[in-house]
Amino acid sequence: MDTLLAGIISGSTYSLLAVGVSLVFGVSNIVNFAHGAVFAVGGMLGWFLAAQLGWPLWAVLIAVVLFTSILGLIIYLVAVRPLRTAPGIAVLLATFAIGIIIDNTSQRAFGAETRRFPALLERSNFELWGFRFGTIAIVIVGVSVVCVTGLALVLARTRIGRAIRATAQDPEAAAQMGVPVGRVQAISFVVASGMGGIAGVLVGMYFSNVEPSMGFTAGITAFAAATIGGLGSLPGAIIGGLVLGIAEAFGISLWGDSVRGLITFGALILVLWVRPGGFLGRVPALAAEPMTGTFFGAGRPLRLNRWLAIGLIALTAVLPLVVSDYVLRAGALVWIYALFALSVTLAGGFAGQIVLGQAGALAIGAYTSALLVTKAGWDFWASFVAAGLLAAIISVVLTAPTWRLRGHYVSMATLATGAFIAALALNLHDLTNGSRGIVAIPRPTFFGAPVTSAWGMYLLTFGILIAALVFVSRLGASHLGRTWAAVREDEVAAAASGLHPAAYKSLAFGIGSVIAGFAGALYSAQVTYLQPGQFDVSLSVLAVTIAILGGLRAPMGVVVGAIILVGAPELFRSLADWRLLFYGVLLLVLIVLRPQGAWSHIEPVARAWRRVSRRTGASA
Amino acid sequence: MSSRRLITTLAGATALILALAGCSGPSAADEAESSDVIRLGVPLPETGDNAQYGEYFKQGYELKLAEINRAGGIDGRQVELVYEDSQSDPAQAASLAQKFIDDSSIVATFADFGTPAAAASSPLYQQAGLLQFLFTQSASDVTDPGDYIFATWVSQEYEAPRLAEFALEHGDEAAVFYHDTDWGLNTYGFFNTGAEDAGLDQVYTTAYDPQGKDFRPLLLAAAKATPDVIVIIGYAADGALITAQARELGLEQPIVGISSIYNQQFIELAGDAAEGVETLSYFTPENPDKTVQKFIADFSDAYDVAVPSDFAIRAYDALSILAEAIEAAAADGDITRESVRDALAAGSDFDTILYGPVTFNEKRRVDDAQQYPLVVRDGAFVLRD
Repeated sequence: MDTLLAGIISGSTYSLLAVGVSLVFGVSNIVNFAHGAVFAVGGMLGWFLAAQLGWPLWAVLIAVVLFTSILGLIIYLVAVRPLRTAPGIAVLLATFAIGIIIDNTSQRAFGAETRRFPALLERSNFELWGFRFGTIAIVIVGVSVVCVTGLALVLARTRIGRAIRATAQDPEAAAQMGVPVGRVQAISFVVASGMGGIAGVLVGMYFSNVEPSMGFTAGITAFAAATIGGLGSLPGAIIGGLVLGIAEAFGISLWGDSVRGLITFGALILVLWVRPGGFLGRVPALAAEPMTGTFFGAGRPLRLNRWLAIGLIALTAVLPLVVSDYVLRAGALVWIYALFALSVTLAGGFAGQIVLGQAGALAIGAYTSALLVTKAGWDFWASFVAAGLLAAIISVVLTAPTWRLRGHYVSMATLATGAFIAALALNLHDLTNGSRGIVAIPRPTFFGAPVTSAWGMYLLTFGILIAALVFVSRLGASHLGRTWAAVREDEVAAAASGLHPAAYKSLAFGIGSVIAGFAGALYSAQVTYLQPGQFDVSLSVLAVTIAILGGLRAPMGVVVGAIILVGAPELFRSLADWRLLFYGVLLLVLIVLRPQGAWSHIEPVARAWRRVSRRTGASA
Repeated sequence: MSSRRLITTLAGATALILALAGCSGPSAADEAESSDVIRLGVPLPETGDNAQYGEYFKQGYELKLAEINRAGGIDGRQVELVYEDSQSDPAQAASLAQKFIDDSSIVATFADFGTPAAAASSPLYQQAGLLQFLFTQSASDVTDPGDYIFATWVSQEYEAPRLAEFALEHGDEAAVFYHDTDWGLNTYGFFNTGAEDAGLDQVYTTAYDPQGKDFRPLLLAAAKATPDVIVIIGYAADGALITAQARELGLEQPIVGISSIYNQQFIELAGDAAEGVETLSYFTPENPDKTVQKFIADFSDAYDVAVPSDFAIRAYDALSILAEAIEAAAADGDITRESVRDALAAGSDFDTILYGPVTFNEKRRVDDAQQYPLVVRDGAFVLRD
């Protein structure tokens, strides 16, 4: 009984956040990755006002709600509005970038330490069935119920509520009927962020401490809760939060803390398998805009001249002659990440599915290779092949039922799969060493000789990347590639002409996972140390970002994307503790300015170029 | 036709790579400078989840650095610390290690926060023959990669069994909470052996995620086993959360924690719940030793903090030991990566705030040291009578 109560209260904290996620998704069809960051800022600001300035609770709450509401508006204006014609995934990445910016600004403003949140409400003045809890717990449960009831009333009874519902159902029709769709979406961001701020203060008080970096995990859990309840359904968000909280409480008290991730993401996968709409939601009958969207027309990849390609490869290959070992080590990591991102390009660019869980496939590859080499004494290259195959098999099996879904649901299902695999690595102590990790993983061998030097690893990873690039480019131009294009551009038409879209999507994902598994094997040999914490959701997001920024349709793009995204943090080293902040800003600017990717065609430039080249061509 | 455009892109990419090369490689100017400055590599988390430990490190490093340079440096040369942000991420730590290795003006490096980041770079340092000085890693196997890896935290092999005996003073049935990390598992292993030898019965044992926030389900399960004492093998922040939530749930058993919880942050975060919590620590501000008292006074002058964090003290000591070794190397001849390592291995009785004089044993670690039993009273760790 006491465990049930503990679960209900911690579930209510998830609900508070999940309501905001669900509201924004319902109105704007956007997965707002910055929601967790807003929550964390709410907590930190609340701590500052309450602990440092000694404000009373009501004043703290008003100030935090005001601040986070404005923050919500800013998020909408900076990251969402400029991208309203871009596909969902660009907005998702933009909100992710804003999240990085908010987290790091907050860390600079409030300091990185964990802080004690003063008890503005009693923490343990009641007892029920032997469980002691306080006013704060009742307030948390109360606030989530009141928020949802209030929102439900607003939605059902008022003009703006009707406008919101209309926008949620069909934004284009709503716009034609005179609903100010932009303003309605802005309001949804403001309301959701305000509630995120309240959640930050209340949850901070319940746990008794806050820290600037607490938002990301909380945000991901909130997505899980919102999806379990039914994305877009407000009562569903409450139910999802409670179900998750109770399941976690019982699971943890039975099997310990490490099963938390297994339960959260296992439940999410299960719900998406069995009832993808969640408990109370429905998968929209009319599929929303595909995730990768119609901007592909604008994102036509650049074509690489053969001689130029060979020149480029040669130039990159002779780099070890002129640069230091440090650049080569960093370079090898860039090539590994490029290979990793290539796996996203396959599913994303070819079959139009955005996968947010490729860190799972990378983890399987890395662990497979590391374990076979260290424990079973295999040769690196045998383990390399096994890594790719196993990564593909496990990923494909886990995601099999999700390919009939579309849009965000595929992204959420793959995100859950990736996080679930990392949680498995943590829990399968006997196999993976759990959190102790695997140390001293040997370097790969090349014809019997171990590749220990920096230039050796650099050339090895580069060679494999080039081979993979050639393979994937060929694949894109093949019959299979055209079939994928058909599925991507119009799934209904493809199905009508006798194709089986789910199977083709799964195939693209599977081949992608083989590549991610290969990348994992190289990663384990490069880093020589593995533990489950390395394969978190942000690594999956990084892979998607590399692929998108490079240009999703162009396999070559991953090289450009990886150089920018893995190289940039190295370039910003001199900025020390401002580094991640700048990285976030760069990411945001790139996404907003070039959502179609760096390695792609820009029409005005191309036109000017044609004019110039025609002239030079004529004179030559 | 499109080749010209591609050349532009290519040029851009090359420029980026070269810019990377430019920032990273030691430039000619750096090398000219290096003849009169002694440079040490310091990877640390300045951003990310562990940034607070990076802040503690910097407090300790900067205080000692100012002392050294005010006194005229080492062998007449000023000392410079080259900070690099790693976020304590093993992947970044490994490439940073390479950066320090490439920079020939760096004569030694300190280790990052936490075992994963250190372990990912140890083999590289060992292979390159550049000293890696660990001071926050206490697992028993951290110096195994080779003779260029040194560590100052007493191995858990000694400390953890002592904690079991310490807990036994409060009763023979214990509920044990330990970090689900490589450090936590290693420490718990030694604790478990110690508990068996001492006759401490573990009625409830659980690993926990140090990033977690809600420990109530675990505490409720622990309460059902009716332990006499609660043992925490964790850090200050998560230890404080467990303590606070235990008291809120009405668990009134005595709580003892491993030395890593010794940090003023523990008391700040746990509030009143911290009262009566006991720990074994290598450091106590009540130590009457003159150097210790002077250090505490200097520290509070510099940072306006009443009690220095354990991590700040360890960083201070690390630089202090290394400076002494470099000085010895300079006295014998040149300051090189090899001579610094040898001086550290050969030297004895290096002065530290934490342990008093220390000497490295054949595993390049500090032997067992004395610990003081401390208890939290009126918002401060004081010696238990």
